[in-house]
Amino acid sequence: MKKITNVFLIFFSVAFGFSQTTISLKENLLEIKNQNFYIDKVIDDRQELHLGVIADNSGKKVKMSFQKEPVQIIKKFMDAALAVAIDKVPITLRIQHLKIEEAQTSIDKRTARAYIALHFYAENGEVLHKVAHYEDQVFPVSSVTEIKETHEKRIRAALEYCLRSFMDAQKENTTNNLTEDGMLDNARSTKKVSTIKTYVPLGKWFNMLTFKRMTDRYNKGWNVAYTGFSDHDKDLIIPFVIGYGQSRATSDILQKRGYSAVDSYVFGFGLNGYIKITPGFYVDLGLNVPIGIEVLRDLEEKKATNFLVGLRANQGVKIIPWKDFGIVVGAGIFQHWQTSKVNHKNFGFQLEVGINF
Amino acid sequence: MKIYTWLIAIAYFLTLAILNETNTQESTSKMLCNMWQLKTYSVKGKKYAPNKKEKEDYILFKENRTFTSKSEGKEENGKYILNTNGAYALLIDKKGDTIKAYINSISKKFLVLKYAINEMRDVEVHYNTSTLSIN
Repeated sequence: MKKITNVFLIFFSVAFGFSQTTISLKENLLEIKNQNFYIDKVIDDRQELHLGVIADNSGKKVKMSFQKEPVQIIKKFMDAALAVAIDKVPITLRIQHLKIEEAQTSIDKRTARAYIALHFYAENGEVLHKVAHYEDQVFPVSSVTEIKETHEKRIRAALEYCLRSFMDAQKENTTNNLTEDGMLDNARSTKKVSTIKTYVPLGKWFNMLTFKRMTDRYNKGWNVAYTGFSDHDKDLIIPFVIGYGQSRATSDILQKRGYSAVDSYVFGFGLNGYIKITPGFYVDLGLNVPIGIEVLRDLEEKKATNFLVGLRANQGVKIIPWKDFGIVVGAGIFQHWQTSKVNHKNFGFQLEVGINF
Repeated sequence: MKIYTWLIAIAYFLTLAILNETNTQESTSKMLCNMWQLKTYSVKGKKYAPNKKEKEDYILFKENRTFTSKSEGKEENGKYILNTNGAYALLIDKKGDTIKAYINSISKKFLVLKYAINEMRDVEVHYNTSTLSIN
């Protein structure tokens, strides 16, 4: 019967598009001596028993799991760190969270993470310590293989952190250590018990290619841009933006200034900030220094160029309805000042459309 | 018969290797507790000498899990937690701010750290043991 269940499980895993990869922990390098406790039991309280779903080299999502029962693996780790002995205090460990994650977090960096939350209980059922830990490591964006190979190392490091945290808490809470029956008096009951915060996942990385139409009193123009940003938990997001744009003067102000046509070619550098209202909906604020050239043709069709530098501010909204792949739309207003021969100050409207991937 | 001799020889060397590894692990924390003088930086194998301000920089790991360091002439101190499995020392300053210093390699005389700080992520920091006074 169990075999049939396993076959169904594998079938459904494949059918739903997740292949499975297993992780085993290498030898625990930590050996703690002179401690009067050991981990007697490990209980897994997690709802989801896998470690997480991670994209592999080809972008395919892979479900990560331990090679053996998580409880066995953690117990083995703890036994290697703390020798089991009858004269020591037995502690029960309850796993609340144990997951791995990885995501691109900047234009050239990728963050890999192991997250663990553990509760330590005395034999009488009293909770002694609660600890949660993010074990983060930053890699170059291309180090996909290295990240994959080091998930187990970060899990070991996170387990070690939690164990040391428990030991430190015991030292701080009491001048004596645990009594041999694992009972704690009032003086030792820890006040840190409710300090575990809600888990905050790594932000999703967005790549966007957008096309912008801009209209103001004197010009019509367009701009293409690549934008990359990590939609992290903080309210202000600073995206990486690189763009190029062109505009052409359209109004009769040209004639007044003695020109027949004016074209400008501009690269933009600067700071943009997205204020996250909800994931997928952002207020877009920017302050840029556009640099480029202005090509002027006078009424006798004589060509002249002018160096353009300026300051440009924009305010708008950006909407990304589908986070994995889809369209991006945006709208806003802008103001600029620049070393133009035609108009120094200007303001206008912009509409943006693009794709995110 | 010959195969048994080979198997015994392999088992012998494997045991030696494992014992040696265990000793190395045990001694990481002992080796770390030392006065480490900044010697050089390296980025992708290319070495760079510390600038004038950094010439006297050091980091001193004490056995009581505290550290003292000098960075660009500025002294700092705090606690540290060695994470053996993660191969790093978590440095915690007086304000509670933390920096991970990954231990890329360590011996009695040499220490190579990589600090998990944005601008230092690709930089290996090489230290030598020092007999200099810290005062």
